[in-house]
Amino acid sequence: MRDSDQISRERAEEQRVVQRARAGDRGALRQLVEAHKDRLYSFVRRMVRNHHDAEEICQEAFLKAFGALDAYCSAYRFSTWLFTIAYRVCLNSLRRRRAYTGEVEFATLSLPGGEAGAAAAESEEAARLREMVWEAVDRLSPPQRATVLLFYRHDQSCHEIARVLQVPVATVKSHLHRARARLRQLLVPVTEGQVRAFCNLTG
Amino acid sequence: MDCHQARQLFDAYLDGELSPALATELGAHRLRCPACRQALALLEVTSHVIASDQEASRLGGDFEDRLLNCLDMPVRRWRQLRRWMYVAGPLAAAAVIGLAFLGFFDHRQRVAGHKVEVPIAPQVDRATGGARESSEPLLLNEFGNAGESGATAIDLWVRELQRSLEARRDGREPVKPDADQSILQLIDLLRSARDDSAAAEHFPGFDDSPASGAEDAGDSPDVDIEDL
Repeated sequence: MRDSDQISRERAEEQRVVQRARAGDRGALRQLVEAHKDRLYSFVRRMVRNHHDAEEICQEAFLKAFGALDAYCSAYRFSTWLFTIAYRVCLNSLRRRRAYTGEVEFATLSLPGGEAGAAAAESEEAARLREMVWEAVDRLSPPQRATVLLFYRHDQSCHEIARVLQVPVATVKSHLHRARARLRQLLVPVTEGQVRAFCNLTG
Repeated sequence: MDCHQARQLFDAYLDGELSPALATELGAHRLRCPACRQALALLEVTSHVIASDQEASRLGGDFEDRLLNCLDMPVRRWRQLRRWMYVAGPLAAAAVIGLAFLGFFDHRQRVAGHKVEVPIAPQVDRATGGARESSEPLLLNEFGNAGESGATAIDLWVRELQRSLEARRDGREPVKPDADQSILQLIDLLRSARDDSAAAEHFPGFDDSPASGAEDAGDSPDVDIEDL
């Protein structure tokens, strides 16, 4: 666990980079992209479930962020601001996709390639459980999915998530509560054996 | 503590917000209740799976370069282009809808690339509502192939736009997310126009209602995010 001094130092360093970026320093812009692109892609990819869309959304989010650096409030982490922009672009993309293709929003999708490699290193039961969990996450509504991803995957607090989703903290807690209830409902078919196998593997 | 009470505490427990006393109560219940034990284990496992997401970033190594190259485009030019796309898209679609309603596409045919005179089909007179007889020939070749309707012409346009989007996605052309958004909006409006045009072909009185086109043109499915 990082201590508060280290966090403060990181924040101060980040603010310096943002200041340089505001002044048009390309090195600083590149530094911000390198620092955040993987986490942003991971979030967006899970939101839109499509590599090409995720890549475009990441690019658009960075461009919008860089184009409006003057509007960035240093009271929040740069990543929180970036995720806020990306989340809204994701929502637009999902709305548009549903409008154009008639896609059922929470359709069951096949697993991305990433899981296949991971599955090879774990038992069949644990791999199946992982697969079922992601299928269940895909069935959550976009705000619930974003909340769950930001909370568990990106270690964001309810306050930070509220900032990203532009909703009150109470709404974030409600999303989290409903998401857990929905996940529990969807994952009921999971056998106790699969849960136990996964617990043994992850320690 | 019964199962109902225990499950009320799951969220607070998972968020680490449960007081020590209640956490102990819940722990005691968990030890003797297999159903709650499994339900809680399931949620804990779910959080582990999400936290250990192994979805690797597949952003290409040149992502930064492409991104920074986009930034090189002068902001003014980029904004002008974006504004133009936002205005031109709906205007073009409105023009298509208007032309489709006027029967512009339906009355034009082209045969082997030559201008030909073809007899006009009987049609509804817009002023009287009755059948209009006309023997005057029309010089028809501006749009589409022989027998091509307004709907088909719109389909061709939509296909061209989609091809342009695919070219960008395949990396054959530079990626312009804002321009792509506008193109997608235009495709949507064109499809609405295509549907209206097809309906007009099958229901001659359909295009007598000017309001329907206006409604479709204004009913964009996408709510774009505000400018930052």
